Amino acid sequence: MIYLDNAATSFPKPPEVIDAVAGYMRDVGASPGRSAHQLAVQAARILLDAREAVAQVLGASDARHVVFTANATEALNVALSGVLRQGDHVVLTSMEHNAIMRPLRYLRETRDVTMTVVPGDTAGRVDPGAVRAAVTPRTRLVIANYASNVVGTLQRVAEIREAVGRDVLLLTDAAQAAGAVPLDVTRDGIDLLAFTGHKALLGPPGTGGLYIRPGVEGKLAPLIRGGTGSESESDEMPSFLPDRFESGTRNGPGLAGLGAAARFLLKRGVANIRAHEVELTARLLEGLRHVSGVTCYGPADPDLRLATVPITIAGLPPAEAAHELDRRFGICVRSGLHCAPQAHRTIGTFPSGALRLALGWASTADDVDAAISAVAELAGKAAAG
Amino acid sequence: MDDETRCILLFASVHDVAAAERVLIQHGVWCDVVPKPSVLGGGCGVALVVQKSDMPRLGDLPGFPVARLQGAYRKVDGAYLPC
Repeated sequence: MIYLDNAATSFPKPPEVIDAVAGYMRDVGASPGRSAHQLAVQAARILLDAREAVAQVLGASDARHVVFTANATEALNVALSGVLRQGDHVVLTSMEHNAIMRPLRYLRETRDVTMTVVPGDTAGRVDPGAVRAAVTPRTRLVIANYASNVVGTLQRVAEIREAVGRDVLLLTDAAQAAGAVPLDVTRDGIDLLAFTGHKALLGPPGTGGLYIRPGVEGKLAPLIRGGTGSESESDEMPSFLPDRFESGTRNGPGLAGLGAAARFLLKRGVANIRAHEVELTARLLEGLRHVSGVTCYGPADPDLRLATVPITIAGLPPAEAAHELDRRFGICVRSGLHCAPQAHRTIGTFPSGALRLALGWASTADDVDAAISAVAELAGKAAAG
Repeated sequence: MDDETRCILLFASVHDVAAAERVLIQHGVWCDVVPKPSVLGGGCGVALVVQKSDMPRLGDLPGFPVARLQGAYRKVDGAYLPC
């Protein structure tokens, strides 16, 4: 089996991650941040280690400002619902996922939030100047995904930050980018960054979080309110982080795994994994370029994208191609619209979508060559009718 | 149980308690995580106990979250007094 669906969720996970999850389930088990017995304290230590390791991967100077959620979608909902008020204006790119678009639609209907969508080019790149031009005095938030889940295109988030200035909040969806490219939220001036644990961070599903720049937390209302294990005598939410945004028991086993994954990334080096994936992406793009009937989308330069390559095959619908790759060649990919119809409109693959080949840290040159060969065979058969 | 030789340190969050505990362990300073006495309002559900004699040097330990320390108490005749 060749797994090329890493943009959906990464596989395989490093053995350390599996061991950490199993170890927590077997030896710890307790609820972190509640009781004070030995197992609960051990659980709290594991969460501390996980939070600090993830903060280091993100370039966050204060780990308390990394709030754990169940996934990036929840983190984005915390950010959007927490920041946007009645009548606010939002600027976003046309490359955003439904995890952005659907909450914004709800906020448009319930809080009269208005939005301006800045289109990307056919490779999915958005001009920071165009983002700046869309900002109005009512603009409270600018949203730009760090990398597209459809086409892997890296947005110039730091340039967007510079272009829009510091008076407007900047939210970036790093569901695809966290762990895949070196991040530095402090350097890039990012106010809010949502991440998931189960993609390039190599952790388990059910983990994720939101980075909140120090000073921004006061502009953010909690989405979920409840027990935090702190200030229990009060029915008000704590004002401090991470507790303000972490009501309810956290996913201890998952976060143990996420911590192990983050330490794995720090040890191996995100930049080294990135270099490996850039090399394989170049190989994939070059191989597919010579296959008649195949169209690749996104930047031709692998340095400008993640190891995510959507393609279409003339005469063969993406869903059928994905099924063929799975059943005949043992290659796992994802077809369709990838929960990002706007992005597919931008690159010209709406409504039929595309076939997404997403490499990962464990992918090899042999995997890439096998995928190229399989796609070529499918394209040849489709051309022959 | 009274113990004038020990101080109970209160922090806002369990994150801070765990972070403080780690610094103390790294520097060989004895400590213990205990349930926070209910009569001591605020803070999280756990507290950190240290030797009173170690109190003066805690602020000098690199990484010890002294700025986030919400209070330090010792138990004398059943009552909690500042430590």
